[in-house]
Amino acid sequence: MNLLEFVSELFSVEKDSLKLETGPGDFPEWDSLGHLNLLTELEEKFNITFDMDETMSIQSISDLKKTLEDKGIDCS
Amino acid sequence: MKVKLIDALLNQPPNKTFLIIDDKTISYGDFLKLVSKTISFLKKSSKKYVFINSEKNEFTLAAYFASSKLGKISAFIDPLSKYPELFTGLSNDDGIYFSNEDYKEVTKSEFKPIINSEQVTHNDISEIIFTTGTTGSPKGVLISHETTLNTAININKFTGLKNADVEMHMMPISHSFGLARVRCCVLKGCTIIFQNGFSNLASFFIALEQYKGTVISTVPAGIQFLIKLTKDKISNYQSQIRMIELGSSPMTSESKIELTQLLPNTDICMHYGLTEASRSTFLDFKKDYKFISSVGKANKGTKILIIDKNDNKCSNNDNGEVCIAGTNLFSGYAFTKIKPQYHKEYFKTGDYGYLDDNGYLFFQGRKDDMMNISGKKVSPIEIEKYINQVSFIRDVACIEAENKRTGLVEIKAFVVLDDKKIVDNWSSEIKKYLKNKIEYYKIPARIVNIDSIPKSHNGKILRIKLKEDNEC
Repeated sequence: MNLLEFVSELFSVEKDSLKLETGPGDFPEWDSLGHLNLLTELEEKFNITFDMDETMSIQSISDLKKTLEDKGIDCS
Repeated sequence: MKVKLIDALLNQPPNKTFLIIDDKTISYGDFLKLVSKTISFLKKSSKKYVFINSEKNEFTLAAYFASSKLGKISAFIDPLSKYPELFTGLSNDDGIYFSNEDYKEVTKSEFKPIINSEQVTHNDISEIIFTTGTTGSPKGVLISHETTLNTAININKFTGLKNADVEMHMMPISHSFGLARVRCCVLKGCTIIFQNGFSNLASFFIALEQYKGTVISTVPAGIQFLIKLTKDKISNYQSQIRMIELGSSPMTSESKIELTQLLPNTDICMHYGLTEASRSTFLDFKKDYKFISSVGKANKGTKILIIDKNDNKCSNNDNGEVCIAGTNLFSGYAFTKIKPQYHKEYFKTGDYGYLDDNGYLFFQGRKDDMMNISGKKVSPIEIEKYINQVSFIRDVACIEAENKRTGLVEIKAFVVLDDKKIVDNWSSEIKKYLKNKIEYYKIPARIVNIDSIPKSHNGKILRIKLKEDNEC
C-alpha cells in the first residue's frame, strides 16, 4: 500500500502536499475526527488494531508508516 | 459600565502565567503589554469593526481585548471561512482585518501602560460571532459587553472556576463556547493552555502532565475521541482534573455515564445554548444524575418557555419550540437579511423540546434541518447547493449520521447520478469540487449513490425517511 496515496485519498488532499513529516493538525482535514477516521479505516482495511501506546506515538505519516510496518504491512 | 475583562487582566499578578501555547508561556504582564501595543495599532483607524482572523494565539486574544477597550466591535473570522464573500453586505471597507502578518506590525507599535478600563456604554456591542444560518447563509450574531460579562459571571458561579485552575482549552475561539471559556478564565485569573483540538493526543497528555491541568473545556466529540483512542488513560488523572465543561452538541446518556464513571472525582457539566443565547441551561452529571438525558435546568438569569405552533405556552412534558429570555441573550443579527423571531421577550430558538415537572429541559431536535458536526452547525442546504452544481449530479440530500465504527456523527450525502455524465472516482470528484467551495468540515465523510431522493408531495426532502431507510 502507498501510504501517502491512502492519506491523500482519505482526506481529499493533493498527494504532492503530503510529506512523511506531515501529521495531525497540519491541515484542517486532519483534525481529531479525521485522525480517528484514518486509524479506523486502516484497522478495517488490514484487520489490525492500534493499541493506546501506538495511537499516542503516531504524530506523523512517518510514525504511522513505522507502526504499520511493525505489524507486517508493506507501506512502500 | 467598565470593561471588566480588562480590569480582571490588570488585577492579576503580572508574573502569573496567563497563556501557554506549545512551549511558549505568556504572563499576565506580558499579555497586557501586547494588548497595549494592539491598542496603539488599532487607534490609527476610526473603523468600527476589527475583523480578527481567529487563529488560536496570543495576538488574536490581544486584538479582542484591545478592541473591547477602544469600544470597537470584534468580529471573529474563522480561519477556514470564505470571508467576506459569504456575508450579506460585509466588505473590507467595514473594518480593519487582522491577518497574522498584521500582528507583526502590532509588536512594533507603541507601548503605554494600561491604567484602568475606559467607559463603555451599557448596551454597546462587544463582538460579532458568525454562525451558519438556517437557510445556509451565514449571519453575524451581535453580543453586548453586558451579555458577555453576565454570562461569564453566571458560568463561573455554576462551574465554581477558581483562580488556581489551569484550563485545557480545546476549542476554536471564533465560536461562542471557546471564546466564553477565555472570558471565564480571565475573570478568575486562571491559566489557559491553548490546544488545537485532540488531533495531537501526545501533546494533550504532555501538557496535562507538565502544567497540571485541572479543567478541560471541549465538545462531546472531543472527549469521545479521547476515550475511543486512549481507552481509560484519562482516568489516571481523576484526582487532578477538577472540572470538565462540555457543550455545543448533544451527547448520549451512555457517553455521559461512561465519562462520569471514568472520572468519579471530577465535576462534569454540560450546557445547552445557542450563539444567540449562550449557556441557557446547565446539567451537572452527578447532581442531576436522575435527569442525565436532559440538557439541564435554566442557568441563573435565564428563563425558558416552551410554546406550540400558535405561540401558546405548552404544558409540562409537552413538546414545543424552545424560547429563551434573560441576560444571556444576543442583541440582534448583522450582515444578513434574517430577522430574529421573538415571542414577547423570549427569543424563538428553532429548537424543539419540553420541560418536565422539575424544570429540566429535554432537547428533541431542530425545527429546521440543521446538522451539528462536532459542535459546528452545518446547514444541509448549503452543501446540497454545491453538490448540485457538479455536472454528473441529478439530485442530492445530506443528513447527519453516526459512523458505526467510530461512534461519532458525520455528514452523509445521498446522490442520484446522471448515468450519461458520470465519471470514474465520482465520489472523490465531488469532494474535490466541494473543497474549493466550502469549509472542510462541511464536506460529507460518506457519499452514497441511490436511485432517488425521498420527497414529500410538495418537494421537501424527507430526511427522516432517508435516515430510516439507510439505518443511519
